[in-house]
Amino acid sequence: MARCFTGSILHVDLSSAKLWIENPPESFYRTYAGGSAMGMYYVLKETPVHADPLGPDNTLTLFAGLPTGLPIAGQSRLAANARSPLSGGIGDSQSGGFFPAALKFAGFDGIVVRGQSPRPVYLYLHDGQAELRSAEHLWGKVTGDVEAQIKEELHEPKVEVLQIGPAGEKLVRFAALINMCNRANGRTGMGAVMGAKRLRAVVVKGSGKVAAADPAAITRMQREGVKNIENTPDVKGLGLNGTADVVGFQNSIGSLPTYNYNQGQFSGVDQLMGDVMSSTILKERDTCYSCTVRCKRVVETEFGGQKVLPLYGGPEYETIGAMGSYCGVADLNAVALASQLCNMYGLDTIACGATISFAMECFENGLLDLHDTGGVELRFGNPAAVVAMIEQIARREGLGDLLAEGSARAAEKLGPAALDYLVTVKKTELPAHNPHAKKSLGLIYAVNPFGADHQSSEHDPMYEEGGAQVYFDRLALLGLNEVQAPGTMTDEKVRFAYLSEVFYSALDTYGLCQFVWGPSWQLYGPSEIAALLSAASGWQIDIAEIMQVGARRLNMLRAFNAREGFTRADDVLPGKFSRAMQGEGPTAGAVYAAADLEHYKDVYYRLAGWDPDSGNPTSARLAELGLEWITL
Amino acid sequence: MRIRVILYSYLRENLPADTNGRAELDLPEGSPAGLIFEQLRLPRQVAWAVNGEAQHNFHLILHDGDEVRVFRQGAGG
Repeated sequence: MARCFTGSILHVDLSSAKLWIENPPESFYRTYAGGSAMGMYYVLKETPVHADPLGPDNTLTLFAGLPTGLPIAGQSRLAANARSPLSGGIGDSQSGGFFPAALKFAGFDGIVVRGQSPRPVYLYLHDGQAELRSAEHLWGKVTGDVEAQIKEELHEPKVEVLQIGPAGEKLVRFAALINMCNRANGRTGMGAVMGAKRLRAVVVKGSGKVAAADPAAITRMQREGVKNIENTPDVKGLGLNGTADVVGFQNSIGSLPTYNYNQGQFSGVDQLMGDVMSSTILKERDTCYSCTVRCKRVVETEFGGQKVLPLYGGPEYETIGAMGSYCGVADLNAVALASQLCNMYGLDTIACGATISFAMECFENGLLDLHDTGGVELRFGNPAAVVAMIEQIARREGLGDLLAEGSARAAEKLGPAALDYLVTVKKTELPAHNPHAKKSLGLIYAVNPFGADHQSSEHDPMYEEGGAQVYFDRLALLGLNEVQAPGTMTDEKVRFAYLSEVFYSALDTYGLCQFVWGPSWQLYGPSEIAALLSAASGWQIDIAEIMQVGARRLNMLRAFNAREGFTRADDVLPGKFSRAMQGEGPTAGAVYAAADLEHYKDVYYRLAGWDPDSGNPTSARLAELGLEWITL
Repeated sequence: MRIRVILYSYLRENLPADTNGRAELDLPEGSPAGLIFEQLRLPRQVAWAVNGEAQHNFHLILHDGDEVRVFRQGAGG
C-alpha cells in the first residue's frame, strides 16, 4: 500500500443497515488515485443505468485525496459523486474544510453509500469503526443546530460533521452537503441525493495520522509555500480578500453576470468588492486543514433585522455573483445573509442565486406575478426578495416549491417564453464568469459532463498577453507555448481549455485545492504537484501520469453521461447567448454564436479522442485508459 | 490633467494606508497609462481598466478626469 492512503474504504447499505470495509490493492489506488475518480469507479460499477437520482439505486460516494491529511496547504478536499437530480447526468462536487483530513484520521479514504434508510440516520466513523445512529431528532433542523447537537450527544466537541440541511431533506434539486456549517460540496444536488437516502450527516473523529513516504520533503514544501505567498501576488490577494478579491477584475472585463446574464458589468459593483468586505463586515480569515493561504471569510453583520453569524462563514466570489450582480443586488449585507441562509439550509449558492435571478426575469416580463410569489416584489435589485425566495425554496413553500426543482424544470412549467430567460447547461445553472469575456471557459461550460463549471479548467486571462511570466512558464509544462491575444478564441485556446481541464480533473482526483495547486497563478505549479504526490505516496509520479489520471476521470464522467443517453447535442450554451449582451463594457453587444461553439467542440472532441458525432468516448479511448470494463 | 487612481487587493500597499488605495495624480497632458504604473511603482502583470473598461495597452493616452482602476488577476470561485 502506498503511503498516505489508509487502505480502507467504507461501504454502507442504508436499506439493510449493513456496513463493511474493503481494502483494495495498491494498483487500484495508483490507477484511481482518490477523490472524484475513485468515487466514479463505484458509481459506474454500482449505479444501474437510468437509476432514479433520488431513489435507493443511486450510489453516492465521498472520497478524500492522496495527500489529504498531510501538513501542507491545499490538500484537505472531499469529492462527492452520484447521478445528479438536476441534470440526470453525473453529479460532481468538491469541498474543503477539516472534514476531508479528519476522514483519513478516522481511518477511511472514502465512503460508498447505497440504498435508502427507512428512517433518518447519521453515520459515525471513529478510529476505524463505523456505526449508524438515529437522526430522527435532528430532522428538520438547520445545520448549526445539528452540528452543535451531535457534538453534545457524542461528548466530542472536535468531531467534524458533513451534513445536509433542511433543503436536502426536502429534496431541493440543488441542495448541498455542508461541513463546518460553512464549507459546501455545493454543485449538482448531492445534498438531495443524501437527503433521499435519509442520511442526515456523516460524522468523523480520529486520532490516526497520515504518513508521507518522505515527510521531510513535505515539510520543506510547506515552508517554501509560506515564504512564497508574499511573492505570489494572486495568492496573496486571495488571502487578503478571499475569492471576492476578483469582483472588480471580473467587472472590468465584462465577466460579472448582471441581471440574469443580460449584462456583463454591474453598476453596483463598488458595494460588492472584496476590499469592501475586508474593511466592513469581515470578522476574521479562516482556513482549511493545514492551509496557509487562509482565503475563507468569516463575517458578522445583519440585514433586515436578521443577524449574520460568524458560524456560517462569509460569501465567496460565486455567492456575491449569484446573489449580488446576477440578481442586481448591490448590498453586501444582503449577500452575506443569503450566504448564511444557504449554509443553514444546505443549498448551493450558485444554483440558488441563479434560479432566483431567472425567476426575477420571469417576474419582470409578466410570467410571474405577486400572486405567484406570495406578495414578494421579485424584481432585479430587491435584496429582500432574494432573502424571501431562499426561505421559500428551502422550505418548498409557495413559488419556492417550483424553484426548488431548478430553473430548467421551472421554465418547462412556466411555458416556452420562460426558456428565453434560462441560463443553464445540462439543467445546471451557470457560475458567475461570463463566457463572452472568457470564451474558452464557455466551451468548458458546454462540454463539462456535470454542467457549467468554473473550476474545471484554467480561465482565459492566464493564457493571454499581459499575464505574468510565471503563468506562461507553468503552462508550458503542459505543452501550452503560444500565449494568445486578450479576449480571443482560437483553436489554440481550445487546446488550452482541454489540457487545463485534464489537469484540473487530476486535481479533483488527487484531492488538491485549485487555489493552492494549479497550472498557472497558484502557490504551487505542475512540477511541485508531481514532487508533492511522489513525496507523499512513495511512487514516482510525473506530469504525464498526472495528465493520465486526469484524463481517466474525465472519461469516466463522460462515460456515465453516455450511458444515460447524453450526446454532443447536450453540449450547448444557453440560447440567450446567441443574442447580443446588453449594458456597458467590453462584452456589451457581444454574442457567443452557436455555430462557433460547434467548431470549438469539433476541435475539442478530437483532442479528447472522442467520437465527433456523439461527443462520447470511444471504446479504444476507454481501453487506453484502462477503462475497458465500462460498457457504453 | 488630473487622473483618479484606485488600487485593489495587495496593490493598495503601493499607497499610504490612510488613502484606502485611492490617489489623484497630476500628469502632463497626453500622458500614457504606463506613466501611472511608473509613478506608483505598480507591477505590469496585473489587470487594469480605464473608466470601467479593461485595457492592455500601456501606451494608451489618458485624458483629464479619467479613472484608472488596477486589480490583481485570478479566477475566483
